[in-house]
Amino acid sequence: MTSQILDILTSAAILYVVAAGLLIVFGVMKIINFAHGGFLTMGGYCALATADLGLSPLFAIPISFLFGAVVGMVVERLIVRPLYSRPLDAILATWGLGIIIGQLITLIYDRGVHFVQSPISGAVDVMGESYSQYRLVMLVVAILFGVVLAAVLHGTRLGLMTRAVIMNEDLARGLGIDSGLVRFVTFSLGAGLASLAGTLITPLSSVDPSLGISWLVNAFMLVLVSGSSLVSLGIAAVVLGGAQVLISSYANPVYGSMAIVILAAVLLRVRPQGFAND
Amino acid sequence: MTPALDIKGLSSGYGEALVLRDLSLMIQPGEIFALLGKNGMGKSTLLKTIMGFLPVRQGHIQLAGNRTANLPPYRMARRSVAYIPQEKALFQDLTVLENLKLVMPDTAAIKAELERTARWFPVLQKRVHQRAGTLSGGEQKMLLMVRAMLPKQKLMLIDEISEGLQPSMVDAVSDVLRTERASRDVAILLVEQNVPFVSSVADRFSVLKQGEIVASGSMADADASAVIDRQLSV
Ligand SMILES: Nc1ncnc2c1ncn2[C@@H]1O[C@H](COP(=O)(O)OP(=O)(O)O)[C@@H](O)[C@H]1O
Ligand SMILES: [Mg+2]
Repeated sequence: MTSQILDILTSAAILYVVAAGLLIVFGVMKIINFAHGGFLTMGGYCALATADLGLSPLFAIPISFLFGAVVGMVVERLIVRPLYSRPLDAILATWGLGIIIGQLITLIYDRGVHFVQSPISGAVDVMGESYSQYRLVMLVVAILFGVVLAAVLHGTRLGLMTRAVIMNEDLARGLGIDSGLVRFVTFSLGAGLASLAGTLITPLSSVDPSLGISWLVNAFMLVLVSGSSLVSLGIAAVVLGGAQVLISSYANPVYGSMAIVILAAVLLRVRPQGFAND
Repeated sequence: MTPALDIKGLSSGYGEALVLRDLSLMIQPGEIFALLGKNGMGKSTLLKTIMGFLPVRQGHIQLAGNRTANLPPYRMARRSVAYIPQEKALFQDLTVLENLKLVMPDTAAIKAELERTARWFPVLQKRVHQRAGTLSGGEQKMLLMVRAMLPKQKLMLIDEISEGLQPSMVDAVSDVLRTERASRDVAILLVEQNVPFVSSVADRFSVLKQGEIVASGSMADADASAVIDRQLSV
């Protein structure tokens, strides 16, 4: 029982971490960034490269975030920005970019599957049951993601401007807000968070060129049912991630792996705004 | 004197369709200029074009003597233009204070402005932490006015602020605008359909019909209201 509750919470936490970057980009730019999967994969390889350099796995955290953010800056300027007025083309472009990132990684490394040593391993005792320490750390990480993003959005001027752009970009522009800058910062931050998430999930999954793809689908569905709200994303991650855990353990893991996509699709059918409150 | 706003031969519209044709007008610093016209004549289109939301197809716009063609809206706002759009002019889910902070980061300056304008808009001071969407229609207009005056811009573009406003509030807005104009050299372009309101505040007027100016004059002219009424009724 305890371990099942922990499974639900930690699965939700991992989903939250993986989808957060995608959600903020969607909120501000109104596009789904399909390169998010590529950025996740990139983060996985950042962890691998850090390990190959013989550095402590903890270094992978800042390295992957910065690497992702810098790649995000370049991508925003060169690929996404010219397509601002053509959102459908922008989405297609990010999709293509995701493929290119996968190909580049295959060129540099290979198609092979790699494993990265976890900085934290082993189990701890939680109410009489032993549980993966790393999964518990992910719970803390997800809460940190939520707290930091909320603090930026609600406690800084950039955050206020970002919320304004999310709500009504034209109005924000008319008041003197450089929404292009807000988009640039958001996309870079989203890419950095995706890459960081890719690093953080490496102890839980192998590193290979398709690392991000499997996560992208679930992250995409979570964003669709959460709109642009980080709180809704948290709720969606717990409910849909929880369903995934329960279906996997009581029915079978194959159904479990499809749970998020199917349940999200059904939810959108009955409640188009999903977990968002308007 | 350099005009605050100088528009010459302006054509603009949406995509291929032109809404404004060869429109010219000039507003001096310290002047309140009313642009009247029935629905669909192109009044809002003109303000959106001045702000840079719509491209200038022909002609030019000068702000205090400088050409502005193709500057994005945020640059226009930073060049000292305050714009109150006709619709969706507030962030409903942000508080009153947050709506104001977007144009002025300094909370003390916001408090001071709310204090200064309290004689017209007393309720706002009590509502600073309330979401703008929870304000009444009239209170939302007060917030719009305060937001437009807060950064002390040189040009204010105001799109049908009196629409749906009760008469006492219309009087308050007129008084505020007159006070504002008297206290500094702000130029105000008022887009309106409310003739009594315009008569009480404006110095000059033009009437827009299907994208072209069909009548202009000074509000002080004896027949100004008659000219406007005639143009608006046909
Ligand atoms: N977003 C838009 N796209 C296309 N046409 C528009 C748009 N907005 C307004 N129009 C058209 O432009 C003309 C002028 O509209 P508008 O400037 O809003 O008039 P007014 O503010 O004087 O009521 C109208 O014929 C209207 O249908
Ligand atoms: Mg209008």
